[in-house]
Amino acid sequence: MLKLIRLEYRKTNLRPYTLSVIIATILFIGFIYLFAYIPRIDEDPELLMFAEYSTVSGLLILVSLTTYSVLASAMFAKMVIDTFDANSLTLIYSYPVRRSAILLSKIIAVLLFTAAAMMISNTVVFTLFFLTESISPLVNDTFVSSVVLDALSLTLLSMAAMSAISVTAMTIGLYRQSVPLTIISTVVILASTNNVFMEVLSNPVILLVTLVLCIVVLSVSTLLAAKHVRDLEVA
Amino acid sequence: MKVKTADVSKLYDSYEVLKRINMNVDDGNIYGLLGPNGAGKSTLLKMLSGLNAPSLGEVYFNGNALHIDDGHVKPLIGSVIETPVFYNHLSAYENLSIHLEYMNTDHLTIEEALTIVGLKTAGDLPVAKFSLGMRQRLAVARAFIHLPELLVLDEPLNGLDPKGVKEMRALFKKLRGQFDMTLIISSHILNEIEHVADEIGILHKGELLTEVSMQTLKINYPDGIETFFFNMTEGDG
Ligand SMILES: Nc1ncnc2c1ncn2[C@@H]1O[C@H](COP(=O)(O)OP(=O)(O)OP(=O)(O)O)[C@@H](O)[C@H]1O
Ligand SMILES: [Mg+2]
Repeated sequence: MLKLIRLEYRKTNLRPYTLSVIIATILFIGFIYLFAYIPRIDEDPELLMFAEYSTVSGLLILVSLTTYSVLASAMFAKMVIDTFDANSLTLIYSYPVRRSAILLSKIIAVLLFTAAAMMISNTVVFTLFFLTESISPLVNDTFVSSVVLDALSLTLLSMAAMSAISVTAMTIGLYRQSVPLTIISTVVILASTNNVFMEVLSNPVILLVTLVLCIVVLSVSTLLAAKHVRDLEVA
Repeated sequence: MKVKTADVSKLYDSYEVLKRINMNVDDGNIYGLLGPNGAGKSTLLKMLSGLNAPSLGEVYFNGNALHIDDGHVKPLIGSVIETPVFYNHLSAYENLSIHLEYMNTDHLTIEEALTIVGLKTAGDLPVAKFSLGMRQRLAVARAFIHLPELLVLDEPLNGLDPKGVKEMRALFKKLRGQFDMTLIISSHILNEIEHVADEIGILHKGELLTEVSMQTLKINYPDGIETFFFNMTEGDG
């Protein structure tokens, strides 16, 4: 399996994706300071929720989840939907490797890349932000170690959510053999689950339930995709 | 017997593209599969190379039933089917190298294979920049580089200039002679394969009309075998 994953990276031009990650990280740094600065713009009491670390961190996690889910589904569109189209199948089906193994290696390759990118990107953004907060804070809240811990657990949860969302979108796209549908599904799923994510911030039980749910959805989607691929024919 | 099919049929929805094909390809032969456009050649070759499964019947390879997910036989087969697909942003060299990683078996060196098909100087060029004929040559190189026992070539002379056609014919004979490969080559042009084939099968409207050795044909049709081909497929072909 390791060899198959390595081959997936060799076959794919990763440069545009790496570039996207770098640009996204720079934008996130801008966002997190913007979120923190909002309550100071004018003293509107309705904006006071922005004066808390949990809101600032939560918003950044949402932005990052959205960005990386879309990036992952773009990679799935290229690496899975395009290679499992009726013509390109000739290529992978001539290899002495089970079809489901090829699919699985592609899913792991994409998720490894995007999850690692997410981790690195969030770490850079939060480390920088917390560092300047500990020196001269923008946020009114008191800065304690639990703020850092919350950011970390939210990052981990959003990695699981990103995996579940993008693989589900990939499976939907695979059944219809459609790249646009893959991307649209990602956006629709994101839009309809955002609320849940904001709830998660305040409640560790919901956080755990969401995590388990993500893993279940990820597994079911992967199995459905593998089942679909097994019956595909070369055109 | 290298390849044998037992009552192989292929249906798309309820349309029968291939009807109970019983084909026999001897070990070490070059088998020419002839038939007009739409006869079902590509459909049949995809099953012979283990890419698609028959709807009915069985394909036998070295006497064993061939299954599409069988990891053991895939390295023993090389194929070029219809318009070949590559990793276009990668070089010819990289394409062959990745192919060999997947095949994981004894093989010619990439330089040897590229030289044999006349692409020695184009090895570092991205395949996206290749001409039609160059892609065809590279596809053939990819099909034989892992030294398969069976080489399945669907209209391999497509896009080649006269010099390329001549070289390719010589290559087919070399692969059979030097590397003991069995070749199945399809074409809708009789002239393309009558000079290389040992045996010819004629496919027409999804039916294998006949299988006959070139030797027999040459005796029965001393003036050329066009008349034979025409007689077989005459009418509405
Ligand atoms: N995936 C498919 N779904 C439905 N019909 C198909 C499919 N593939 C092939 N056919 C039909 O099967 C018939 C045979 O097609 P095939 O490509 O095997 O012919 P061929 O002999 O290779 O022709 P050509 O010389 O033009 O390459 C055609 O009528 C084609 O429309
Ligand atoms: Mg064809």
